[in-house]
Order: sequence, then C-alpha cells, then structure tokens
Amino acid sequence: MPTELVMPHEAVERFFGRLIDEGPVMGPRERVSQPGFIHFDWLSDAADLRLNYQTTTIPPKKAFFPPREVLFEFELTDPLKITAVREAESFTLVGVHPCDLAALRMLDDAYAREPAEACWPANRARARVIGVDCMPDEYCFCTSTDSCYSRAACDLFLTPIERGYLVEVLTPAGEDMLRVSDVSEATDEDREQAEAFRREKAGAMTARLDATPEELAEILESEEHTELWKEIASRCYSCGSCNTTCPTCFCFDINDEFDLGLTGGRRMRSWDSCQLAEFALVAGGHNFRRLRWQRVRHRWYRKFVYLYRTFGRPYCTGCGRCSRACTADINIVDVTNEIINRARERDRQGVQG
Amino acid sequence: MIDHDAVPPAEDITRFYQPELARVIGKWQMTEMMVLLRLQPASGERLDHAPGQFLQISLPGYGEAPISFCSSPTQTDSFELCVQSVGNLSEALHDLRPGDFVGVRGPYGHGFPVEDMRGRDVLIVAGGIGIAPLRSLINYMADRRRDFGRVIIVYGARNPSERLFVEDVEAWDARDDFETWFTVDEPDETWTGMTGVVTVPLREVEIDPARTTAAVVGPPVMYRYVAMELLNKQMAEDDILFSLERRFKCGMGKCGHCQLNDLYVCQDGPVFRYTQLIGRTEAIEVWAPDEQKG
Amino acid sequence: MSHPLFQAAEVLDMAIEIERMGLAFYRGCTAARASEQAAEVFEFAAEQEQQHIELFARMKRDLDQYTVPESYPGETLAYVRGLIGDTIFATVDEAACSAEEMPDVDSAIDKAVRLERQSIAFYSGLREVVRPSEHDAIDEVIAEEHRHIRRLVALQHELGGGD
Repeated sequence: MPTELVMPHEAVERFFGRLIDEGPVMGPRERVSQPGFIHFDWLSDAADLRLNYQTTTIPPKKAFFPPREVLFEFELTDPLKITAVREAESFTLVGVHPCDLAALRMLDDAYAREPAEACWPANRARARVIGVDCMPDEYCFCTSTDSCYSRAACDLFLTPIERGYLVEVLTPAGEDMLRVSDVSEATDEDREQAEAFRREKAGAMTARLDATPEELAEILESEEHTELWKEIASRCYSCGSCNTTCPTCFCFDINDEFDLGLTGGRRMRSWDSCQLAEFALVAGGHNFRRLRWQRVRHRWYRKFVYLYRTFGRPYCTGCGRCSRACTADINIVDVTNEIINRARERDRQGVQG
Repeated sequence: MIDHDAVPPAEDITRFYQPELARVIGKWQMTEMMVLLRLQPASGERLDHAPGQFLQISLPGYGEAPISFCSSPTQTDSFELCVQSVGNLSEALHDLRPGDFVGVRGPYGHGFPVEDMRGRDVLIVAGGIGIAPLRSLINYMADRRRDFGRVIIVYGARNPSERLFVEDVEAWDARDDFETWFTVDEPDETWTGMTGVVTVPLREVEIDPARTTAAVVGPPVMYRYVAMELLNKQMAEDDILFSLERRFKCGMGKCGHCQLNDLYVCQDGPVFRYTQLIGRTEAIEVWAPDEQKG
Repeated sequence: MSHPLFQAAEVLDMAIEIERMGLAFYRGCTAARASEQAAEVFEFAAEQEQQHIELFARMKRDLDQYTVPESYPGETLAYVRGLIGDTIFATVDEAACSAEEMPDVDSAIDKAVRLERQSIAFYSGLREVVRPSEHDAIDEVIAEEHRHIRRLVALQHELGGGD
C-alpha cells in the first residue's frame, strides 16, 4: 500500500513551480500558436500546466523516444571519427494519464527484451514521472485493456478530489519530490472521493472491446480474417497517423544526414510506420507487406497477438488516439469488435450447421 | 523498475547503433553488379561470425545496410562481403579502394546450425546471389570436412556471366568429396553444363532424406519450388533450412522492419527451419501488380 | 502437405502453360493430316485447349493476382517449366514426335486422353499446396479437364473406336 497524501489546490502551482525551478519539466500545456490545443511540451511557468486535459494527439513517449534523435555524429577524417551524442540532463515529466503510464512500461519491456536497447532506458532514467487521473471521452476504452488504473512507471500519481489531489507516493524519488511541499495525510473521506472519481471514470467509458485480450488473441489466431482487412484497407490511406499517435508503437528507421559542407554529419533514429508501403521493402523491390490490407492486418496482429504473446498483455492502452487521428475514420474499437462479432457469428453458425 | 541514478556514458548508450571501423584490404569485381570486399576490423579483434549470419555495413553519410558474410569463419584474419549495386550506399561501397574504412557492427542473427548438422549429409541449394551466404557454409565444411557426411552443392545462375565465386566453384567441383551440380537458366555459346533453373538438377539428386539437411538461399521465387522438390524427396520439414532476406535496420529485434508475423528475422533468423515458416503468412511473399487494389 | 506453397493464381499460370503445350500438340497433329476424321478430332481438341487457356486466364483475373516479384523477367515461368517439365512436357514432346506416324484416330485420341489424365494428376497434386480457400479454383480446372476427357471419349465412340 503506497503512502497517500493530499495536496490542496493552493499548493499545486507552488509544487510544480518548485519543480520547474529545480530543472526542466515537460507536461500538458496549450500550444502557444494554437490556443485550446493541449500537448506535451516544456513548461517555464507552472500556471501553464493543464492537469485536467483530454488525451493529447502525440503521446508523452516522445519525452524518451523523440520523433527524431541523433545517435552519433561523424567526421570524415582519416580515420573516421565517431562521437556518441546523448542528452544527459535530468527532467520531470508530469501530468501523464494512466493509459500513457501503461505504455511507458510496455516500451520499458519491449526495449529491454534481450538484446536490450539502451537509448530508451537511458532517457527513462533521466526523468521522474508524475501521473494524473482523467475522465474518458467517446474514444477511450482503457477498461478493456487493463490500463484504466495503471500506476506503472511513475513516482507520484494524482487523483482529483474536492480539496485538491490525492497523491499516491510510489517511489523514493516521488517521496523526495514532496519533501518541502504542503501535503497532509489523506483521510478516509479523501480516499473515498478518489475511489468515487475512479468509479465515475470507469462508468463514463462508453467504448469497450467485446472480448478479453486473451479471447481476442485467440480469435485473431484462429483465422486470417482476410475479407475484413480488405474492407478496412479499402478505406485506409496508409498515412501512418495511427502509428505516429500510438503510445506503444516503437518501430524506427535509421538514416544518415550530411552537413552542408559534406565533411561530417550524423546518424539519426526516427519514428517509422508499418503502414507506409516502403516499410517492409527489401533490396530488389521485394515487399513483404506490399498490399495495404496486409499492413492493416499487421498492425492489429502486432498489438493484439504477437506482442501480447511475448509480453502477456496487448500492446494497446485503449487511449483511442489512432481512432481520433485516423484520416479515414477507422475506429480501432469498431474494427476490433467487428472481428470479434463476425468470428462469434461464424462459430454459432458452425455449431448449428 | 527504472534506476534513476544510473545514466551510463553516451557511447555505452548508443553502442548498439555505433559501428566499429574496418579496413578494406581487398576488392574484386565479380560481375557487373557484384563486388567482393575483404575487410579487417581496425581493432584487430575477430568478429567470430557463424555461416549464415549477417552484419551491418555503413558508410557515414550514405547509411547502413545488412549484408551476409560470404567467407567462412575458419578464415580468421579477415572476412568477406559480397555487395550488390542497388542503391546509394552500395554504389558508394563499390567505389571503395583498399585502405579505405567502413563502419561495421555485428554479427547478428541465427546462422546455419552447424553443430546440429555435424555428421549429416548437407544439400546446398543456391540460386543467384544466394550463393554468397552459402559460400560461407560450403568453405566452412571444406575446412571441417570430416564433421560432415556427403556435401552436395546445387547452384543455379541466370546465365554464365552472372555466376559468382567462379574460382571457388571450380575448387568445389575439383574435390572428390563434394558432389556438384551447376546449371544456368539462359545458357550462352560458352556454356557446356546443365540448362534450367536450380530445381531441374535438384530433381536428379539422390539423397537419403533421413540423413540430409538442406540449406537453401536464393531469390524469392525460388523457395517454394525448391521446397516442393525437397518435400517430394521425403525430407522432413525440420531439416530444410531457408535463409530469408529482410531490410534490417537495427539488428536487435526492435526497429520492426524485418518482422515476419511474430518473428524478427534479424534475431530469430535469417536462417529458419521450414517448420518455423509453416503457417506464417508473411514468409512467402505475395504482391498484386494492381497497386490500387492494395 | 497441409500448408500452402502456391497461390491458386500461380497454379493457373501453370495450367495455362500446360494448355499451351497441349494446343501446340493438337495443332501439330492436325497439320500431320493423318485422315480427315483425325484432323477433325484434333481441331476440336485444339479448340478446347484454346478455350481452356481463356477460361484459366479469366479465372486468374478473378482471383487476387499474386505473383512473387522476379529477380529477372521470365524467372517464374522458368521454375514452372522446371516443375512440370518432366511430367507433362515430356509426354507432349513424345506425343508430338509420333503424331506424324499416327494415322489411327483411335490411338491418337488415346494419347490425348493420356495427356489430359496426366494434367489432372498434376493439378490434383498442386491442389494440396494451395490454401484451402483456393481449392475451388483448382477443382474447376480439374473438372474442366474431366469434361474434356469425356468429350474426347464420346467422340471416339461416335467414330466407332474405343473399347
């Protein structure tokens, strides 16, 4: 049982202001050029922090896995000189929803699987994380993916209550952050209010998957569902927005960049998308997922079968970002439920026939 | 749990992505499109690869690409790679001269299971540039000849001018303890050997299916026809080894580019037992000429 | 074997190639002009093969057209020929060689029937290496070849030959 404290409303801005004074803080805030649009960015003033926000377009994984990052720089001297490039400064990532916390843990596991990748854990080790609870919109379905109540990968977790936030202290680093803050012991009343918030959250969830993750994996494994993938693919533009906005997508590309003087440059790692036609392209023009439906199918199987079987949970947090971002209005819940329901309908007919 | 106190040095963090330098000590133009590079790690340390494994070769500014070793690990002072001219990087590699440096990292992947193949007959089926990774295995067996039973080499090229490693091929042919079958699909006036694709001589080869392991590398079209011939010879699916080509970016099962259903070719392969590929729909490549249908 | 090695479309490619060979055989027999009656039989058979080529081409268009990209033009066809060469094409060659010395309509039809039977055996073998969902297409090819045999045999009886 973690320690539970209460941070009253009047102490919140002071607390985050002090964190900003201590070092860089990234959190949900309005985009300067686009009022009303909340995204994860660096904060210079605690007043800009928006802890009560709807799911961002780009998930906070970008704090640890930037869309583009330098791996090393090279100079074309003789012999060649290669210099590793890494950010080393510590920072704090605040205001992370439970679904995105669950995603951080998934990427911890995915990158740690032997042979382990080192950029992600090194970036993770630089940061403290503060989570915050939220209310769902019509795209959220985190109760179906076991991430509604996630406290993974965070040091403190905040739940809105009447007099401020109920603060769950989950690690020594979290305890350390609170050392000079105006926090008090939580009462049973505070705890009951936090519990009520969680009940309300779960109750407000309108979207849900019609099968458990295990049932879904079995349904996907039982047959190829080719007709359905073709139907979905006929609407898909292969734009890759679903991958770009996904908190659990971790594929990447590696490319070189020359400086203008052509005497040096850098090797870059950047986000990539399995929905793009060239993703599985091999020398000689061979493409192992050339057809759009094969790529659409791959996304579902990767999230709900392959990684599920490897790590024991679906690599989907129910955040709904892919559905919100889809330029063709393809909704992950609708498509998944269609698969489930068609499979069950076939089973029923099979039993009767 | 993430350890907030332990941020390792930058070069440790990027060690997976960071190449070691290797020096070009030899270069041969084998065909119009293919160049053989002989390389030596600048550190003097051996890469210690297994036949069938690959490494990532890079030229800063041009990027990085996976290439299979084509020399045997028994050749310890250097290693060789066969580079096909297909893009910016490979064209730049074709321009290298002895003394130049390249970046290398690896070896990666599961190569041919030479320990499991000890004492067994080995049937090599090579199509086109598939001979390159198989040359590593063949020359390994040549150097460890007593570890293996019969060694049967079936190698098909499109035409006589596209045959690779002609000197090696002649040496294999000259050995009493190798059985060799060479064919070309499009013969010219110089060609006196067999005509047809690799499955034509393969059908003539008599094997003891229970004692034989087949190692198959070739262009995508070839695999299924070869599989059919080998299965017709009553070979067990587990004894048929295919090496698959994918576009590996990281080599450590993370970047996703080489994923074949639930497998990462760079980690689980590139050499697979045929058994592993059964039921995996992305193992056998398909495409529609009508792109719009996709 | 219970796993798919080939797509039905590829089997149809093979079928088209076999039919082309058959067509060449029957045209050769027709040209030999052993007798008026025999010429009619072979013209009929050639016409049938022509129709089969069109049928199989149409069936292929109706399927998802899967082809593995070739590393050089004609690579797939080279493997198809390598695969069916020893079974069907050898029969075709042998039959074509002896067509001129085959004035007897009865034995010519026998040879044609043998050729068709071998094609059916070949398709039945291939049926095992395509996805179950694509069995229908292969079954249709086989059924078409059976119809072809029945017509040849009926013609043989009409002409007073056969058993």
